Amino acid sequence: MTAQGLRASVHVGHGSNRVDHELLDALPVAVYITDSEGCLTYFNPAAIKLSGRTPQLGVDQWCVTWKIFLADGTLLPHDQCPMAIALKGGEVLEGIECLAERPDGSRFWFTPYPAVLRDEDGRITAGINLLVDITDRKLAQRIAAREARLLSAIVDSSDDAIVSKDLNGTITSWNKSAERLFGYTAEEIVGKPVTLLIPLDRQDEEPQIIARLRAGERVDHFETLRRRKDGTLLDISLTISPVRDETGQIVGASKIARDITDQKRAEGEIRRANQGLEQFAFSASHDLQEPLRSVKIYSELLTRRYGGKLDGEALEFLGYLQAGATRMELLVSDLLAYTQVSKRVAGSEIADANVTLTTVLEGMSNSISESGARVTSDPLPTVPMHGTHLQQLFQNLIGNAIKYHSPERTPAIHVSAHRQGRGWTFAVTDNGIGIAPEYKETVFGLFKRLHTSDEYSGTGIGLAICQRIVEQYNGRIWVESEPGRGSTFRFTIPQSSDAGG
Amino acid sequence: MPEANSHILVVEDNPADVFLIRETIEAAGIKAPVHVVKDGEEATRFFDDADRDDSAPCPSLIILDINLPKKHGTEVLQHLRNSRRCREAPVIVVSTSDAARDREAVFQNGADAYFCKPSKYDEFLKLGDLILEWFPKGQK
Repeated sequence: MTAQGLRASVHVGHGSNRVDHELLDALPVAVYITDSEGCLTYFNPAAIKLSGRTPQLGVDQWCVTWKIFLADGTLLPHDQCPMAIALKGGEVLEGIECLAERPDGSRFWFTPYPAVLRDEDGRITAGINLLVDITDRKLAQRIAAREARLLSAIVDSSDDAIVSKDLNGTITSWNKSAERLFGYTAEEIVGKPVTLLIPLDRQDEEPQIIARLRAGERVDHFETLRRRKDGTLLDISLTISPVRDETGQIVGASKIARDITDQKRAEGEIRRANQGLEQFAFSASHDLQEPLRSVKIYSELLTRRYGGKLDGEALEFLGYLQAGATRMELLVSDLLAYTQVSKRVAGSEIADANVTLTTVLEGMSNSISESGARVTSDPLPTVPMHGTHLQQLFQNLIGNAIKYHSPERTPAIHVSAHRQGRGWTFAVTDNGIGIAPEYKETVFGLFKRLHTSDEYSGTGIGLAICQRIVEQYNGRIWVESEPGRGSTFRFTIPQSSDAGG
Repeated sequence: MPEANSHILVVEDNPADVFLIRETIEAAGIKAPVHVVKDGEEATRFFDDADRDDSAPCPSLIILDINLPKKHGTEVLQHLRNSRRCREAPVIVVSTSDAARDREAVFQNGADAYFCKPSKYDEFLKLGDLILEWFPKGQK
């Protein structure tokens, strides 16, 4: 209620005080009336409740409260309180906030709405004041302010640059780490377009980011380059969330930019080290083939030409020599295949998994018909990967499913795929011998074999190759299995554009 | 008429393979003499000698291992294709590598045939078919 409104209502009630008092008694807001000298002539029950005391009519002057303080905490003498000022003909600011103390020491905040009554000649005859309790609001404000201070302390002390912008891409806030990372002070950059920070060849990222934000999407850990004030580039990881107003409308975004220069450098070093290792493995396996070939071919010639002159034990030794060389040859050629996986750089290829699977099954038709296996599949998607890679995956997984079939059942193998976020999860399910839980991780290791060569042939490199392929596409491969019942190998292929906008 | 000094030049550092190549040539029924050099430098010197002295022997067929000491096989090929007298000699490259990239590289440098050395004796003898194909007719 405004002071004007209050004044009007008091005028209306003039002349029927008893009725007025009944009306005021019922009000849940503290109200009191004074004479022109400020002596209290009336107060309502709500005034007792608020002030924590029962004023004495004719004794208490200016206000029902016990002690009044200004917002800054200084004691305000009663004769200088808003009601006193009003009665003395002064101007009282509307909506001021005062603090009062009750006799029990508790305090409350209120906003007074003092008004004066005048006679026909304009002389002040009485005053009426309404005290609105604003303690809850002040408390909420204080909590909000404390939270805001806490938040700004967190933002200020963060090692990450925290920046906010509106939907036009104009920077609206800028923390200390943003200053440190980008070289601009808040004064320099707030109000400027965020594109200032984006290298020229990446300017198209901003409209894409804004489009995703408008759609209410978050951009998570988007690795990109940004430009410092001095023009140098900075590797960062961006997490951008839409900011909504009270009505839920998206009005801007908050960005957290993490400096990943060191991480990138470390990644580069690891990549180089890996490349070196790969190169080594490639050369080693390549160069090993040469002497191995001689061992093989000459042990064969020895058997062919001198076999008749050798006794049984010598022939047995020669057999071991040949078997060893043959096995090593297989290992070396598989190792070579393993190192070759990463040599095909993933680019913009796409593979229709239905076509790939058909090709693979045609190539495996012999082993499929020999084992009597039944291979079925659901409709499969087209995925962003090199056809040869998908082929190798199917070949190894289906090949294993056939190889490790249960002697008690006809092998049944099913290939399926379902959407997973923005990518796909493939599954190759069999009813074979299964894998014990303790080997679920290790089966993907290089040269990892769970069986002797007598039981099942192989070098133990197939799943390692699968894992290497899948990891090249930032996917994952794992196995779910119940020993004796079968296994399901699953692998994920994320969408190639997962890097974000 | 076959030249009196018609022969096969084998450039191969591994004696085990030299032996197999000799057996292959013999099994193919080619009687021409076989001259063996053990590294890339020796091979290029061989061509240079032929260029300097018209009476020096010039091979009718070259069997060239690609992975050679001192000078790589491709370098030997390039050198050969610039030789005055030996440039026309057919070359069969023998290599352990089955990589398409290696294959392409030797053809680009003027090889006539490529043979990936197998690890079984009978398969090695198939090199004989290539030798028969490229050894000049009438010189066997």
